[in-house]
Amino acid sequence: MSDYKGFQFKTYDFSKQLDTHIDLIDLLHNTIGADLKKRPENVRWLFEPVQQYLDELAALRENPDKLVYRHFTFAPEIVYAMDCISYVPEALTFMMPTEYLCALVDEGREMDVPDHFCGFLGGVTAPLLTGRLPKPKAILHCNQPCDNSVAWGSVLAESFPDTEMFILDNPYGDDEEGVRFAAEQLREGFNYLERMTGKRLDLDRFREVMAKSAEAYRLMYEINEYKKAIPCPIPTSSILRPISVAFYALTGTEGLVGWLEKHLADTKERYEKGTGGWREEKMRVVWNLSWPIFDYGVYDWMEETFGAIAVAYHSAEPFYQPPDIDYGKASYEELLRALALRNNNHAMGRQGRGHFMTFVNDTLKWCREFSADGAIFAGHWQCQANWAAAQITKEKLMEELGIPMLIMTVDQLDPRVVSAEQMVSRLEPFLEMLAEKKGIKP
Amino acid sequence: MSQPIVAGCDVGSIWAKAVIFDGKEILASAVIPSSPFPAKTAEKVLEKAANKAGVSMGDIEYVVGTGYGRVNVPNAKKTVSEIACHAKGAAWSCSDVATLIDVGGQDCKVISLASDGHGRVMDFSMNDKCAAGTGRFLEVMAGVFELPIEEFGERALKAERILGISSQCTVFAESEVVCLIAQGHEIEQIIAGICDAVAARVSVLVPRVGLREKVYMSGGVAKNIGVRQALQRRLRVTIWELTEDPLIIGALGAAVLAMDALRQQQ
Repeated sequence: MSDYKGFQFKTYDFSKQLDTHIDLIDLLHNTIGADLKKRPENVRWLFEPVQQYLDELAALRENPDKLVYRHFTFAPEIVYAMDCISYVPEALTFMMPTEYLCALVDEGREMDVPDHFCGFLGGVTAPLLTGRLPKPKAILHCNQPCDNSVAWGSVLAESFPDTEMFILDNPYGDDEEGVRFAAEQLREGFNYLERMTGKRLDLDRFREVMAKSAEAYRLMYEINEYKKAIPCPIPTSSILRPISVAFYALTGTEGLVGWLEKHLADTKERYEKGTGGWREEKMRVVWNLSWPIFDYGVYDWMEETFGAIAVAYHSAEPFYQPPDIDYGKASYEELLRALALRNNNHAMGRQGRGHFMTFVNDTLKWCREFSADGAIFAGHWQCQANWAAAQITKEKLMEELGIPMLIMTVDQLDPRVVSAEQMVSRLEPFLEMLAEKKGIKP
Repeated sequence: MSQPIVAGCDVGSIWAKAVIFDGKEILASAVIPSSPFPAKTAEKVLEKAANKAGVSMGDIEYVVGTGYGRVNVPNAKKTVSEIACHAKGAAWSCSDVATLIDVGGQDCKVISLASDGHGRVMDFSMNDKCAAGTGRFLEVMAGVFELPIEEFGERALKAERILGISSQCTVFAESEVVCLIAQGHEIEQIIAGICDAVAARVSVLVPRVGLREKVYMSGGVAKNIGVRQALQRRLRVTIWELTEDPLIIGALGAAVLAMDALRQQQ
């Protein structure tokens, strides 16, 4: 049984009048930089993907012609293959201090945008509509993973009326036809990018990007093999943000491969020494969907109070095996197919399209492979597609693996929707139940 | 050697409850309205229960806190979630509880218990951030009719038909009820509709954990016969009555857990 008397979750002062008209990249650089300084030097490497992504965005000031807006479930390889920089406006909210995020959400709502936009999209709506974000050369949007992000396309269109937008229609099926369907659109996508940016696609560069993407996935699979060990050498909670930034924004880059190599070496070393995370592992859970970006203290509380370690995070795990081709000699057609396959399996995009059993089976797979004692479905309040799978996932987990799943609502970014304390009020009885089942005294 | 004495204290959103327990029987219990100061409320309700039991606070060897205000219970050596406490308390009261429906002031939960009679939680589901389907909803509605909440359930039973309340939100439902009154509908029929609306919100949680009999109810709303009957109708099961006051089940469970913890400690 638990006691979080001594545990302090973050508190926010929303009464402050923040200047939201500042340069968001500077804000993020300063915030993340200050945060990094507080961490021990030997773990700072963990946060390199975040730094890399912010550096790329900052570099756009010198190279505005490389700026391509990309929807977060559109594979970034297409942008890197065109030697452009992928700017995901909604990813800014993901790294923003919570007070700013909330102020920006409120500002967006005052502009008559739909109030059902979650913090992820809503937090960057006002900066877009008021011209505070740089004008892109091209915009890659797509119809997944939720109704809101589709609707958000109109915010982009309204913000940049002179910039033609490319919208990818993600296929429903996971079969070869689905891959062909996506590949044909990506071919159009390259044509679009060439037209909008004035650049020509360099086949060698495309090969290089796809090879790095495949290498990143290979490394991630290898890391995951070690993470299955008990104790888990590196709990997912400690690397949620960098791993998400890595797989949502940096696949296809040398920087990501380098980081994953360090990550693998560290994980392997910890595995060989039998070292777990920062706290003793007594039980393990697979965390599905959204996590409380506004307060990672929820994970500290879980680990400290129950020894409950989140070993896998459903939405940032590798979901597919890149095709086994010789990337150095691959034809354009082969690369397009590889990119289509990758795009169809992009985190969240994969779960937001097609039959909901994909989501169910992915959860079963991660829980089985990581020997989870339970799963947590932290459903983002506006990720409607995933909510359709919630109950069936819970039932399948119990039926096939005999493990329970907690279903709760969150907004990853905005604690005013569901606070850390409210999350704990759900997590606590669930973890008590797991502890009792395992005969553990928290 | 005298039995050790322990206590469970459940600080809820509407009521604070305390149970003084010796491991075999409930020595006393107390219920007082919650205040904006959960620590003071907890202290008062514990003192009241201790006085009734004829013991001093110093005689209580172990206190477990539960409820939304659990972290503020003074002298609590441990805090436990309401779900675990309600399951323990209900199983102590009736060992054949398979499904427990707990409808409290600010939330409702459906708890599936293991069949070993020890109050082990197998699964649970809770409502999400919504007052409809809770005691607070009924309180607001009772306020519209200027009726004591205790009379609400009985009045519902007198209705010849149940008027539908379509709004799923307390605020909108209140406006809807005001309209129904203005349209001249019988009060009893409107109240029956309100009780049914609560039952509708609660009953959707049941399939999420699976309905297993016997089914019992705890929490303040368990005392409302109108809601209880509406739930029986919707779930097509008998909802049995616990042997103890449903309002104190959380505090009772906390006391049972306090005794377990004390024994382990010793």
